[in-house]
Amino acid sequence: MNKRIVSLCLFVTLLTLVAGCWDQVQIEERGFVVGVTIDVPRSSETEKKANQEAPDKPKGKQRFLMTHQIVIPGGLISGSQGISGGQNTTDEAFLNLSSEGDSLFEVSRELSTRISRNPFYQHLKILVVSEEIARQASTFTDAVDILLRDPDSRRSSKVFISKGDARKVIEVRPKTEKIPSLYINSVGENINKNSRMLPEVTIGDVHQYLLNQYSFALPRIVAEKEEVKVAGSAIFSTKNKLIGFLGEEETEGLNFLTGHVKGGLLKAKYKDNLIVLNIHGAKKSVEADIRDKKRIKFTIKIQCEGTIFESYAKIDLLNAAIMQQLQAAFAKENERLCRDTIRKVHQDLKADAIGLGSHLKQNHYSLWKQIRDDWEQGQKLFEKSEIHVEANVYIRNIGGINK
Amino acid sequence: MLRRFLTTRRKKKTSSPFIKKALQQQSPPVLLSTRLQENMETIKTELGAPHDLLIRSLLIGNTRHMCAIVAIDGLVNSDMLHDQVLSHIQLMISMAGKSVPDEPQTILGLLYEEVLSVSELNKSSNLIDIIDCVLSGDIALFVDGASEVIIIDSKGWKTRATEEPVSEGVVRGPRDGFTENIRDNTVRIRRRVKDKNLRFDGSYVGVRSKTALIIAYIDSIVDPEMLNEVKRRIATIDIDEVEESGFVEQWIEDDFLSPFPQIHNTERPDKVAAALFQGRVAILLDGTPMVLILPITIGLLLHSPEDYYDRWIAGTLARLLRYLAAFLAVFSPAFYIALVTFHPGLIPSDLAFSIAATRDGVPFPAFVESLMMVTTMELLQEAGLRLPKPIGQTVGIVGGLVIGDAAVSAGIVSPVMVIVVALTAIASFAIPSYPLAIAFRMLRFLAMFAAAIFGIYGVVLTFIMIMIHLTNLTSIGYPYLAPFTPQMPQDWKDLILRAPITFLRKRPGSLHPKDETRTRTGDST
Repeated sequence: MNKRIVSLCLFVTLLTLVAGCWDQVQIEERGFVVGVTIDVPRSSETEKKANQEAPDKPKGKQRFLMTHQIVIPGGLISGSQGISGGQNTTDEAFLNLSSEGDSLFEVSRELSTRISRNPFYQHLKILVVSEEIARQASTFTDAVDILLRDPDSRRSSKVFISKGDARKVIEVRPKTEKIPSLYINSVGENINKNSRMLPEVTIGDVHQYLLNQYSFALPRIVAEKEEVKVAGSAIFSTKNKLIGFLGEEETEGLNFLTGHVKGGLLKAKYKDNLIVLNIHGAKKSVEADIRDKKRIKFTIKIQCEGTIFESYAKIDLLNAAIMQQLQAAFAKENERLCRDTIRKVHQDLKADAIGLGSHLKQNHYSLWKQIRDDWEQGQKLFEKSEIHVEANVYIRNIGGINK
Repeated sequence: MLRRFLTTRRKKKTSSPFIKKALQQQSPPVLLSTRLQENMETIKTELGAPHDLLIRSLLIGNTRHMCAIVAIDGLVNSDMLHDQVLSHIQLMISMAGKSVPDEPQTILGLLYEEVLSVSELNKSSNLIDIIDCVLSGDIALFVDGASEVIIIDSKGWKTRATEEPVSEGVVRGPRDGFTENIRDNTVRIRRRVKDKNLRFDGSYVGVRSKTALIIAYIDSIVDPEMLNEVKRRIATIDIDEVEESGFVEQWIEDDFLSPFPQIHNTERPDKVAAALFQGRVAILLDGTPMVLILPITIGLLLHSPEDYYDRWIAGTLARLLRYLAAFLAVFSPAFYIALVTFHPGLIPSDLAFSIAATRDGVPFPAFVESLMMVTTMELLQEAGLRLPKPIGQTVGIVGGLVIGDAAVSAGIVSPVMVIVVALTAIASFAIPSYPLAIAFRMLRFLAMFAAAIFGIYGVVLTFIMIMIHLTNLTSIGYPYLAPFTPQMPQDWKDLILRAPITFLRKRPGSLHPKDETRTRTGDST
């Protein structure tokens, strides 16, 4: 009897102690990685050194310079009053650690030899990949591989392509926030105020793009000294390789064409005076004329709604005739934006970033089955197709005053 | 194995030789004598001539017959003793103008029928009964030469005035509470339940303490099977002293290993009355203001009488809040430990960073930190309970200041931990039933250990374990988790929700009441 009770207790204790506690790490001992950037190394010194040491070691095609941005939580408390014995010595709330190697996992583990807090990727907010990495064949996929494969990382981190060094992006010193990555993360969410940036693209989305046979666009980021600019977009070909950038206006047009406009503005001229429309939202619909397989005709219809926000022309906005003219002027401007984008994407880059292929797949599947291999590759039917834009703008409100 | 352990314990319980021995001791050594002097001596030797024994010998009226009054000083109503007993014996018998008979037994009859103007009189010739009555506050009147003794009911000791129940305060609702006097308590119930079917079945428990016990129920509502079970269990009580209803509770409860109370205790007569109307049974015990209500469910423990007195929206919201409080009281420190040590990815980034910042420099792991804080809180609670009220407040302030502020600035605990502990404490005070709050306090430690070992997984396992236990638990054989499970949707109107009073037309079905409907017309909606 007693023996059984003792053995039961022993059983429970051992069971819990053996099975438990193995992944226990106190929160303050974790190095919260909030941003990761991937560049091409500037010098080849370390590479040479590594080669000298072990020439027979397996080597990757491309060496990466990976920079981690790690939060120093102590630095977040302004003035750092009260808490004594904190481990931070500077007022900074973040630490950038760069390291290079041909495997990103190797780089990540190499960090453990340099900092007391082990990298913890579940709070990773942004991944910035430099233009150089993205332009080379397959290195972009190699660069995001580890973040997709690691079960500890999240698919919700945002991905940006930097023009210039990616490292510079998380080295900016924003005035509004203490941690650059969090600042960039917030900037990346401002799509409802400005349509010149792409809607946020997460690593999970990128995974999907990489597996699909379409071209895709990722948001572009440019670093300055104290701030970043998230505007424009980077266009990737079906080979998952960066083939070119779209400027800010072209990105705006792309957003109209893909139906991602949530806010922003449109400018138009009325009798030499500028009138500005605050966009409340836009819808697009695509009609495809598939009678000629070799020459599919797309008509993209855009419907946009908004409010007059600025009017330098002294006109009676309550006049229906004037309103009609204004709407037409805005529609014309809208069409111009879209046409510029189409010219670039369709004729220069020859990449279906507008998603017309996926429209065909969803709406004309039997056709798509025949042409899916000849859409962007093979016979290049995308290039041979025709794209037209028709825009309609509805002014819903004239603002607080009339004249 | 546990089951076997239990059954052996139960066997021990029933085979106790206690009561037999006690009964042997009780057998009367001396029978009632006709000689007064001899009887007085017997009583003195039986009781050991205690200091508070009152024996007064006197002549009856103007006769030469002696009589004696035996009582315990302080237990009897002294006004009554003087005005209705002593003075009547001495004066009234002669003033009645009748000739006093010589035969002692006739005098006794005269006293019994005519002289003593007391409402409750009894005759007895059993010395043991007489001593028992004297010890419970009656007066025994011995007449020299008579073979019987008159027992005058004159219980009238000083009792505490009725106060508002301290542990179960309400904003809206009656202010009276039970007292230590069982008679006062039955009065309080009777005043609320003027139903002719209200029953008070009296008996005594405790071989030596002989504490009065009353089983109260409404005969036309209560499930007879349950009533029999309650009576059966009370009959098994086999102990020499019963000081508080807790003795009865622990003797008749279903599972002594469970942390959860299976019998409710309350000081509020309105609560008892409501329980009786629902078809439950109440057990009143002399000497304690705590009245037992049984059977109960966990829902009942989380309800407060105020839920019914306030309007239904307020009552419902208060209940929702209490269910939340129950969850927080058990699991909030565990969740803190699990999130901080195992799953920082589940905390929103900014919060995670600020928790990490505040824990920067705290020398203990989160588990030790929480264990320290929660234990300190338990200490404070226990200390505050023991101390007199004015000092108790000081303990609260000092404790709050020391732990809340000094410990944080000394870097021993993190401010977030203080918030978590404060939240836990407040949540556990929001539980209306104190025994249930104690159960939650115990389970809190279990959940914390599980969280420290397995993280959120452990917390979930603890929750499942508690739920399995609750599902198996019964109160007097009735499922503890009813009407959650077994599912009784008709009872859900008065569970987490408190539907408007006009909708509550049926008694809880889980109690199998004889009379199901609460409305006069008996129509059911």
